[in-house]
Amino acid sequence: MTSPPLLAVDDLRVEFPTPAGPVEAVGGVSFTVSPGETVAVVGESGSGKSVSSLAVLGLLGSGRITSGSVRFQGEELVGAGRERLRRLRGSEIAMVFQNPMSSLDPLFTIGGQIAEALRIHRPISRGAARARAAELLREVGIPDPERRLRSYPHELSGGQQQRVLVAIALACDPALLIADEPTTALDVTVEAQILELMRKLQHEHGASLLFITHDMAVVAQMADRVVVMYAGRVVEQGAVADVLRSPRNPYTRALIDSIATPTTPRDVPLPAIAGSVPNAADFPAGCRFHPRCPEVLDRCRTSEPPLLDIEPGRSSRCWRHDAGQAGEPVAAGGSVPGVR
Amino acid sequence: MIFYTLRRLAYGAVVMALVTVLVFVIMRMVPGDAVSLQLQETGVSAEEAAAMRAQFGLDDPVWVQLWTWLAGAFQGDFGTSYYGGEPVLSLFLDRVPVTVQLGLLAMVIGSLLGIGLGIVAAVTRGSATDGAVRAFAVAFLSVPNFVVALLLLTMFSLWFAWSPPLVYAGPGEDFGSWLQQIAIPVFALGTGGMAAMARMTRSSMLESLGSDYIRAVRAKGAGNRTVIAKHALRNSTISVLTLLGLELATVLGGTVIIEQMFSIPGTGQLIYQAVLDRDYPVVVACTIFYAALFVVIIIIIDLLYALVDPRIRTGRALS
Repeated sequence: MTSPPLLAVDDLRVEFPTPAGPVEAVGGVSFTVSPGETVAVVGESGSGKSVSSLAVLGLLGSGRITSGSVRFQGEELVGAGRERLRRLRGSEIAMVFQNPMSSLDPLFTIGGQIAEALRIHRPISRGAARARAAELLREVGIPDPERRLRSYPHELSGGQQQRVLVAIALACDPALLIADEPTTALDVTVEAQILELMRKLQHEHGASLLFITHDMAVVAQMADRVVVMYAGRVVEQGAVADVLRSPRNPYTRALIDSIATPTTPRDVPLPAIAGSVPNAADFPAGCRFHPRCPEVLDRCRTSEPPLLDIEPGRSSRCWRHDAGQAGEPVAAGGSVPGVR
Repeated sequence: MIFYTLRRLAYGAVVMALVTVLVFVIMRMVPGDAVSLQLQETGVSAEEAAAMRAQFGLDDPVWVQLWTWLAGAFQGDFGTSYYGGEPVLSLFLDRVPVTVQLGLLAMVIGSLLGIGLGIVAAVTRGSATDGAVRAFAVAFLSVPNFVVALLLLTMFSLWFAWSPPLVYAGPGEDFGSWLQQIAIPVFALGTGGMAAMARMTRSSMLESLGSDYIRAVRAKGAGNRTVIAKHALRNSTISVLTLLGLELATVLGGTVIIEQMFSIPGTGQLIYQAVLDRDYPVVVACTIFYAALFVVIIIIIDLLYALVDPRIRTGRALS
């Protein structure tokens, strides 16, 4: 982590208007992505992970960034002009979305949609764009690309659609690729193929990858570093190997415990985190995880712990670190999902 | 695609057959026929009346009359009017251009303005403009076109001492007079369609603007123009086309009353008078022509769906 970060998100806060007043979905999130690095942002639905990634691109819709900063290659993007953000989107920062089936415009051909991504940012002819589109399709492993260019989205399987979206994202050789749960809607076997493809292409293109997921097993497979989010806050971050081997935060531990591995006994129910993620409109007082936390202290109910640097490159948000119990994970090791 | 087209055509044929039989039978179930109506006025004797009925074939059973009429219709003979004895076809064709001018103007102007307003409202959602468009749309959707026409007529004559010319002149004869004659009818016929079109365009634009593929297109770095004009608008076409077909029916129906009100000698007026006179051949032929026009337009719209949406072309969705 010696090189300056490609993307630095600092104390980012995002609000959404609701009939009952503004609601803060992301409350002070910070993380960085270095060149060539893969950072996974992990958390349950409603943790604010997707919103954080959309905020980077300025695609929040009705939401707005209330404070904090997003620096990309040293340039501040919060408050940057619309036109500046538009130029960055697709060319420098590209995105792959969660639902391939609905993320392609059903009325246009695959070739047209890839060529569109190219022609928005580069002054190339239709013919050249088409040729490049065919190349991209070949690169993402779609057979018979020339013919596929003329296909419509509904003629492709979900996995192929996601390959096309990856091709669109890579069209202009972005420095940063944001993938928002790119495999959630896909079958497990297809998921493995897409992950493999993304990893391969990321290396070939030398891009950084910001990978949003709720699946710790995917984190283990894809990322260098992991940012664990819960209820709009970062609760733990560090190198993937360290975090998976010895998670410091009870929430991270609970997430890791709920992964099924080939060695998980079949007759015991898979542990699940009791309760559900609180709604952003009424986060609990104190530590936001305390109502579901198996290791809750009295203190957790009233005041929220800060994100503590517990080692270089490693931080966690828990009062237990303060109580001198830091580094004594209750359920460490053992069930770490290996790289498949 | 061929199967799709053939199926639309087959549906069209079935509709036409049903309309023909229904109109033919229902018209004859209405009390009084052309002969008895004439009797009231001229006092013809009962023998003469029976002779007239025999001459027109009105004393035959309905199915015989239907059969005779169909046999003629398939040879291009749609019968002759009971009044004046003119062939129905030429009566109708003489008046078609007038109605087409009126209806087409109303539809084209109404649709273009409606779609435009709908797009503006969707893009500026929640703004004052959006609110104005919606209020305007609800207002014109709720008021029937003949009321709009009456209000305009009253307003212009009371406040500006102006009213449309009483005698109709075609655009070729006296363009200025034609324009004055047709202005209020076009407006009255068009506003309802414009309002409906604005609402439909607004809601389907909002739907497509909120979709995943629009977000993906924005993530590509596309500007507002590409997002709105290319992707969102095109994805709204299906519902707008559907409404266009329905609008045609409203406008065609509207012309019957509006032409009567403004003494415009179009097919609407012809039908209106023919119904009052129980002039069966004219009513039946005109209704069938209207139905045929409607069926043809609907088939064209169905084919346009396929042109717009590849999923319909390959028969995967909708159908």
